[in-house]
Amino acid sequence: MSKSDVGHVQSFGTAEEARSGLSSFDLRHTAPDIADRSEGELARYFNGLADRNYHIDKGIYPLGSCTMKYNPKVNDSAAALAGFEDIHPHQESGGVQGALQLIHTLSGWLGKITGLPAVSLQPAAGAHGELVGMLIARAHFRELGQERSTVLIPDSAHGTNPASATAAGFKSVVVASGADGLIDIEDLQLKLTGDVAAVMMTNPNTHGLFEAQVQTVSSMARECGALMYLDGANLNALLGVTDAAIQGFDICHVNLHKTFSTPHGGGGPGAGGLCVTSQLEKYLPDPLIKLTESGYSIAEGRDHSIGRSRSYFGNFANIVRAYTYILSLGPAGLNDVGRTAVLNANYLLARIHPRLTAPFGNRCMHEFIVSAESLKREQGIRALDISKALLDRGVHAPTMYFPLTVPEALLVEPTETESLESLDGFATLLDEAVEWLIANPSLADELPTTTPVAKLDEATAARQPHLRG
Amino acid sequence: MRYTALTDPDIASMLEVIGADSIDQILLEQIPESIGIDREYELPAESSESATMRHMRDLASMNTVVPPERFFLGAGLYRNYVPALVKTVISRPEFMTSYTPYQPEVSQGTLKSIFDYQTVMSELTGMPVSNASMYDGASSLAEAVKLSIKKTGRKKVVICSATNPEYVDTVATYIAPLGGIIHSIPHTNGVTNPDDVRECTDEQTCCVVLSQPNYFGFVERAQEIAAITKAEGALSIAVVNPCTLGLLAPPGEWGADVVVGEGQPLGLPVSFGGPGFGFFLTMTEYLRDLPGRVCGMTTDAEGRDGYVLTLQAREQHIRRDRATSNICTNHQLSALAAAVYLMTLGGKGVANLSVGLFNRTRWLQARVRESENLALVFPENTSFGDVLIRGSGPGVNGFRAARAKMVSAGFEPGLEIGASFQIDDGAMLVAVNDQMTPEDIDLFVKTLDRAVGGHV
Repeated sequence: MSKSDVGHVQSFGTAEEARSGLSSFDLRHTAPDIADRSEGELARYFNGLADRNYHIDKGIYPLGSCTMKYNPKVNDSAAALAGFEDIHPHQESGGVQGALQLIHTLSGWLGKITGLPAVSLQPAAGAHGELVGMLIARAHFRELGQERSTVLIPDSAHGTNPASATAAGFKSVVVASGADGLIDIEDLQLKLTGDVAAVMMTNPNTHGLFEAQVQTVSSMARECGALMYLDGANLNALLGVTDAAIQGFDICHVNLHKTFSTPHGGGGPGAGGLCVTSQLEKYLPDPLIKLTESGYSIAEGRDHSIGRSRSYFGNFANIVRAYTYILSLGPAGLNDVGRTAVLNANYLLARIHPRLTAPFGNRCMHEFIVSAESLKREQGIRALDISKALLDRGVHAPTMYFPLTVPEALLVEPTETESLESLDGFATLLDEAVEWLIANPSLADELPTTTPVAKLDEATAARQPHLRG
Repeated sequence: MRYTALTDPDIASMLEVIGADSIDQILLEQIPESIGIDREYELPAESSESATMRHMRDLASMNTVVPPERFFLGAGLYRNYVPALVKTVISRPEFMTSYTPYQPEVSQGTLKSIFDYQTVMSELTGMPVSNASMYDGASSLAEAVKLSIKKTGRKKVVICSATNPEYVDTVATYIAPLGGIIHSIPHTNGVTNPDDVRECTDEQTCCVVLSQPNYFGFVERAQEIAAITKAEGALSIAVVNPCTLGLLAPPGEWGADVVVGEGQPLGLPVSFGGPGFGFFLTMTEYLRDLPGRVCGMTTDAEGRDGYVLTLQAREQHIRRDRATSNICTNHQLSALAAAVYLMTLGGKGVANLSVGLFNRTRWLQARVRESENLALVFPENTSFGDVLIRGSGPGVNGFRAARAKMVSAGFEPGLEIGASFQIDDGAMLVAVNDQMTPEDIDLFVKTLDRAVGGHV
């Protein structure tokens, strides 16, 4: 008995018929070399791969600035409804009123949460939102007839900020942080010239600290005619606490895949939302959804719009997930998210910092930095070693060597969904890891040893790229 | 419904360890009074999971769902069958709830799946290098055009006009800050005339963008156009429908330098336009100019095969303002769906998919030719996947009137695109998918024929 020719896809006619309809010039002559494997073999293969992944349903995932919170399953159930999954963006708007209402409503909710009422959900990810935001700044100054070519970005910012500013045609200038981990106002003053289009801040910043002088920064920027941009990657800390508008921001992106619990998928798809003041609404990307007397309609080709930043309405399935999440939690639940995230981070900081240096004191917002600098100086233990020793103990490591402002940095963000038991467990494992490294300094280079693979040769991978099988 | 885990006694004991009286105190120590710590959102009140799901069902039911065999709208997104295994794999929390593989030793599942994705996409397109994925076809094309501007130092972007307008608009948005200018080559009877490409392409041209098959579903003279492009030192950028590549010559064979497109038809639902994913493949020559992530094979300390994200010096977290792109989070889970899809089909299955779609296209064209009130637009061209049709003869109703009748008959009939492409008013783009039988197509054409003729 051999394998049947009946596969997963329904055949229609023969290959000979098809080939006779095309010139040999246009024909493919050899089938793609993709192995013919049974479904059972593949199920086992991918199951085997799954076994080699860490994930949030397994345990704490304390990557700082990544907000790896638990992803509620009801979000996925909602996104999988046929009424959401099987509709096409080119169906006539009368047949997709539910989808348009959902996008319009979530836009309104994010407007309330950020205080910036005009919202586009088209960006596919945080960095994509940054690009759209910077293009809006560009459009704004062009309309004013002002040539502004600089964006100021604190040294603790995510790498995407300067990359996005460049993609929108700006050059970025770095503003220093002070010893307290907050933006250095004097340095800002020095760099805030008439050439500055925007100040791009993250608040809380990636030191896990609230920029207490943010309103001062905003009024300085405003006086200079520059716009204020908030990188909303750390919005989780501010839920139920404060919003972007009160702080003086004009533009803010939101990562639905961080703050609003849509799953990361091993590196996306995420979803961004871009929120701006009503004065900047006209620049938002096409299309926008409007509520009219005859229902929800799609506004395209708007006069001042920066244009399309990608196809269609954004990552709709993730928009559904984020909507479901906010609907479940309500205002009280969102308030609980922000406060619990801050509580969990401060607790973990208190548990950890006897062991590792906390360069910015014993208070933080939703995440914090600890440094292995003194351990490195005294015992030769690096942030990398601690991270790998944590992997060996069955938990994921924090973000390491970011931000670039603190040597031997570990950026830890537990999120609000971790239990006390989980936080204590992580603190204990971190303690054990450091103890073990102190006792076994010569073995540090060989870590990790209990993971599916041992230390990987990244240098050779980059020198002799082997990118396909 | 809450997802936090702390009890009141937990909170009390934690505050004691922290040395604070309350969470508000922790906040007030950091946030100035002028900003405040109490935002009350005017949002719907908290709801149970059951009530939430009911609300979501109500919203979903306001959308018109048409079964795939009656769904003749495509234009870049298609209702192909998604094998059950694809859904099972991408629903696994190990894949769905993991982060970008920053710690490779505990992310080998994701990394190997990226490597597999790069392998099968490379096989499908005939291109040596694939990245890990982009947001969608449109942004992937925009990044390809940016790469061509950067590599050639030229700013004239030539686009063959029968390209998805969503993509062209996105390119315009991305290249505006670079001073790139789009020159559109009008189609001649639905396809690009290579002589027009020769005339438009010069020493200022950074790239020529060609869709194969093009937005109308027509097969273009791709090899000739690529050769003309390269003779001027410009990059040949191909936008392809991946489902045609089991039958059509892979772009790596006809001379494309960069191949991009939308991956949604490879195992993903349409989901109102997202998320699918963008694929991005190129020649080894441009390896260090790739946007986004790429996975490489290496070995671990014990000599076993292992996988890592590599060539990261191109990327924003290292290179910052000089990165090749600002992309960070891409569309990994969607790319995984495509890898599972293509591996489930296998090489033979992929060929079978393309053959089936092409034969369905021809079947639909034959039925249109036989109809009373419908005609093919530019019948001399070869169509693949999408078909451009119109009402024939004087006095027949336009598609606008027919559309309403088709919708009430339970069909999604297609997309009217005539006006925006200077084709006969009322031209409509219809598409087949791999779930349609001959009878499904017969019934559609028959019903549309009657609707256009005013008989329904």
